[in-house]
Amino acid sequence: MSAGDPGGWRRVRRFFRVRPADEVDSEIAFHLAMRAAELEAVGLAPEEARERARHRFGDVDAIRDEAVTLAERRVRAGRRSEWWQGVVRDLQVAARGLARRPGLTAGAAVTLALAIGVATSVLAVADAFLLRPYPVPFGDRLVAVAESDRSNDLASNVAFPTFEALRAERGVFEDGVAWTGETVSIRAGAGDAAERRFLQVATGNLFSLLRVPMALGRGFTPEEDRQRAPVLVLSHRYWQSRFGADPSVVGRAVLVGGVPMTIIGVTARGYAGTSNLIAVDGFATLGAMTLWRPSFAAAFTDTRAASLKVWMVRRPGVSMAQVERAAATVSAWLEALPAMRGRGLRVLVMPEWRARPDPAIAANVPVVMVLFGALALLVLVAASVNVAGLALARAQARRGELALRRALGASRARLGRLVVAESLLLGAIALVPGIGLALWLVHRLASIHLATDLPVQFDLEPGWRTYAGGVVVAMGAGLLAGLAPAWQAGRSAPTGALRDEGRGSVGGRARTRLRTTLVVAQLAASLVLLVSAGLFVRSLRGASRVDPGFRTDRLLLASTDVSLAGYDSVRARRFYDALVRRVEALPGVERAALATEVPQGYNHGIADAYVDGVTDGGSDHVGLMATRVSAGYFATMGIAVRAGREFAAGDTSGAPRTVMLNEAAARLLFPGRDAVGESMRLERGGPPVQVVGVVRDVKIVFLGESPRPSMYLPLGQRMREELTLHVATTGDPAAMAGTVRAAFRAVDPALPVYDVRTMEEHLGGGISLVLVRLAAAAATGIGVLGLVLTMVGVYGVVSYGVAQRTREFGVRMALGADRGDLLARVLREGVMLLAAGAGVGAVAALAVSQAMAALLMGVGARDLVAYGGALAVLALAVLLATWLPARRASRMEPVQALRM
Amino acid sequence: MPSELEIVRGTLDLLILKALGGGAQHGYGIARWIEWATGDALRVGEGSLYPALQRLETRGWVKAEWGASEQNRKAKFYTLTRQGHAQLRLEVDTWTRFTVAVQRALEAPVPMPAGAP
Repeated sequence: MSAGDPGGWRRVRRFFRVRPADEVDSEIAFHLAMRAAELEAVGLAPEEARERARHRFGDVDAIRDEAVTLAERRVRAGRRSEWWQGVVRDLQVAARGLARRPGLTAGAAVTLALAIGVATSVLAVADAFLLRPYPVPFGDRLVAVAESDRSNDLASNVAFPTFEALRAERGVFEDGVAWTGETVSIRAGAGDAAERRFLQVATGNLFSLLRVPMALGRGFTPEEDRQRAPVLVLSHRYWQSRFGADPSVVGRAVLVGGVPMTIIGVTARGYAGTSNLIAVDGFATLGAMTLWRPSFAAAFTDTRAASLKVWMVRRPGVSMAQVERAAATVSAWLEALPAMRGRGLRVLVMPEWRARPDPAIAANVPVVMVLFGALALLVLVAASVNVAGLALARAQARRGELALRRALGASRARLGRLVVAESLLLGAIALVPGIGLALWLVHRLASIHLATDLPVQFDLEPGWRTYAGGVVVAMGAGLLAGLAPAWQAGRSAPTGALRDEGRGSVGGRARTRLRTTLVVAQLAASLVLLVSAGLFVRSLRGASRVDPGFRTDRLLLASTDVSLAGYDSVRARRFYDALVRRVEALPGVERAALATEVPQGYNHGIADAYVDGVTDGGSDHVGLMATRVSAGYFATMGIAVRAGREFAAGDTSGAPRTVMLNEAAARLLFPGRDAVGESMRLERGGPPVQVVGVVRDVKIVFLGESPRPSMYLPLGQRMREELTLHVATTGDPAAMAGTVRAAFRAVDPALPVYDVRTMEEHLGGGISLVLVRLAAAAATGIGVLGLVLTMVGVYGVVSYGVAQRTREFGVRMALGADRGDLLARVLREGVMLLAAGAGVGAVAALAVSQAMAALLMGVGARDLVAYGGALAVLALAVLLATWLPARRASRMEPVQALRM
Repeated sequence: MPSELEIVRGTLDLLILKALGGGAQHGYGIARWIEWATGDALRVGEGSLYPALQRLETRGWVKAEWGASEQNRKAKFYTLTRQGHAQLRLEVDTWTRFTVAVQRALEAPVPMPAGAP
C-alpha cells in the first residue's frame, strides 16, 4: 500500500457539517470492503470473503459505537472551542468599535452606570430589609410572634406568659427568645455624669441562641437571668464611644438606673442586633431589669402587660401551618383566662423576614419596596432606551459598513451578536462605576441621622446578593440596550445600502415616533424634578425667614427623664421646681420654664377636647395638639399672649383645672366669642377645665404649615417625668450649656441630661429642615440623573434624525444652502422636543408642587424663580445635546453626504 | 500493573504512529502494514484500530482528511502531526528501554547473589 495523496476532496468537506457517525460508518465500510476484496482475490467466494472480513475485524458493532462516541466527543469539544474563539473575536471587534468613538462610549457608559447605581442601591436596601436571612444557621426557621386584640388591629408586643406558653409547645418550637428596648440612665463611675442610653433587655438565652459574636468577654446566660445577676454587656459602638475601646472594661462596674452592674463582655463590631434599624448601647437580662425597675417583675406573670418582642425557633421539619396551630392553641388558652375574657386576643406568627423591621409595619414594607423597585426599573429602562437610541443613531450612520460586513459573509446572527457584544461590553464597563455609585448612595442613606427618641441606624451593609444583583442588572441593561439595534443590524439588506439606493433607513417610522415620545416624557419628568429641586433649595433659604411664632435666638434647651432614676410624681415635682429655681438664679439667665415637647421636634402630643356643640365629623370631640408647660413658659418662649393670662404658680393640683388655647383652637372651639372664661372637658363626662388664656399660633410640626389648633395644660396640675428645660439667656446660649448641665447635676447627679442644644440648633435638626434637606438632595440628585439620561436621549434622537437626513442635507448644500442653515434646521428639532417636553412638564410640575406645598417655607408653589431656573437649565441641556449632531451636520462635505 | 488491555492499547498506538511515519495512510492501509511488518504475529482484531485512531486524533498526534484511495474510493487518510512525530520518537525510546530492561532481567541469575547493590 503506497501512501495515497488525498486529492481534491479536502475543500468540499470544510463547508459541510458531516455527522461523525456517518464518517465512522464510511470508514468501517471501506475497510471491510477492502479486506473482502483482498480475500476474494485469493479465491474466496464473495459471501465468504465478507464473512471472513467481518470476523477478522472483531465485534463490528461495539467498535463502531466506541469510535462514534470518541468522534462525537471530539467534535463537540472542537465546536465549543470554536464558539469561544468566536465570542472572544466578537468582544475584540466590539472593543475596537467602542474605542473608536470615545465620547459616545463614555456617554453611554455613564448613563448605564447611573442606572445601575440606582437599581443596585434599591437592591441593597431590599437585601438588607427583606432578602437577607438573619445570620444564624437556623435563620429560615425563625418565627416572629406578635399579639393583636380587638381594640387594636396592629400586630404588637407580646406578654411574657404568652411567650412561656409558646415555649412550652415543645413539639413545634425548639426554643425562643424575648426582648424589649429600654432607655436607662447609665453612670460609668460615681464622679461621672449620668447618660441616657438604650439597652436591649432580653431572656438569658439571647447570646447563646442567636450566636451573638463577641469582641471581648462573654454574653450572659439563662442562669444569670434566673438569678437576676447584675450583669451587663456593652455594644461595640458604645464601648468605643464612651469607654474608648478600653480592653480592661470587663469586670468594671457601672450604675444602671442607680443599680451597680458588672460589665461582662462587649459584642463584636458590626453586630447589628435583632434589627437593622435600632442601634443599641448594651444588653441586660429581663431578670436584671427588675433590679433597677422593680415594677417590671409583675410583667412576668401579667398576661396583659404586652411589652416584648418574641422570636421562636421552629423545629426542623415543622411547617408554618403547625406553628399557626400552636399559636391558635395559645390564643385559645389566653382567651379562656378570666382576666383576658372578651379582649379578642390573637397570637400572630409569621416567618421572621416578614416581620421586618417590626411586625406592626412589616406589611407596608413590600409596598414600599415595590414602589422603589418600580422607580429603579423605570430608571433602568429609560437608560437602556437612551443608550439603545445612541446605538441606533450610530447604526444608521454606519449602515454602509454593516452592509459591507454582510456582503463579506457575516450572517445576520453574527451582526446581531456583534451589536449585542458592544452593548454587553458597555454594561461591563458601566458595572464597576455603577456599583461604586450604589455603595456611595447606600452609605449616604445609612448616614442620615434622624434626631428621634430611638437610636435609629440604617445597617445597610451590602451582601453578596447586592453585588450579584448589580452584575445581573448591568448585563440586563446592556442586553436591553442592544436588542433593538441588534435586530436592526441584522435586518439591513446588504444590496440596497451598498448601492445607496434611496434612504435605506435602519429604524422604522413607528419606532422613531416611540422613541421621540419617550424622550419628550423624559424631558417632562426632568422639568418636574428640576422645579422640585429648585423649590426645595429655595425653601431651605426661605426657612430662615419664616417666623415660627416663638423666640429662636438666645434660648437653650436641655432634657431629662426622672423616671430613669425611679422618681415618683411628688419627687419629680420637687426636682423640677428646684431645677427651675436654681437655673433662674444663674447669671446670664433671664428666665426658665419646662415643657413636655419643643415645637419643630419629633414628639407631638395629641389630646381630645370636648365642647358642647362642637363636633368633628360624626365624633363628639376634636383632636388638638397638646403640650404640658410650666408657669412662665410663654414668657420664656416669647409667645405672645393674646387674651387672658399665662399659667402661674397658682395653677397647682387642688386649684381649679385650667387650660390655655392657641388662636386656631379658640376659633375652632368657641367661634365668634371670647374663649377666655369658657370651659371644656378633656374626657367624655370628665371634670370641666377652664380656659384662662389664648396665645398666638406657633409652628409646631412643619415650618410651612397652616395653624394647628392646640391646647396647653399646666404641669403644676399634670406632671410628667420626661421634660425639656427651656432657658432664655441674655447672651450666647451655647456658652451657658456647661453651667446649665452643672445645675442639673447639682440638684441630682444621678440623672442624665441629654439633648442639650440651642433653639437654633434644634430648628436646624428639626423635621421640617431635615425633610426639606433630604428632599432637596433627593430631587437634585435624581434631577441631575434624569437630566443626564434625557440629554443622552435627546442626543440619540437628534443624531438619528441627522443621520437619516444626511442625503437630504447633501442635496441642500449642493443647491446652495449654507452651513448655518443646516445648523438651524437641526437645532429646530431640538427646540421642538424641548417645547413639547417643557409644556407637559410644566403642567405636571404645577400639580406636584401644589401637593407638597406644606413642606415649602418662604416660597410659593408657583415660584417664578424656581420654574424659570429649571426651564433655563433644561433648555441649556437640550441645546448642548442638540449642538453636537447639529455641528456634525453643518460640517458635512456635500459630496460625502450625497454618497450616503 | 497495567492490565493486558492497557499494554495492548499502548503498543497499538506505537505501531499506528510508526505506520504513519512514512506519510498519509488510511485505516486499512495501516492494518495491512502492521500485518506485514509484524509478520502477522500479533493477532489483534483489526477493528480496534479505529477507536485507537480516534484517540490519537483527539490527542492531536494525528490529523485526518478525507481523500480518494488508489481505487478512487472515498477514504479517510491520517497523517502524523508535528507532536505526533515527537510522540513517536518518545514511545520508541520508552519501548526500547523497556525491552532492554526486561531482557536484562531475563538474563540475570536467580536468586540475587549476596553483596549485590
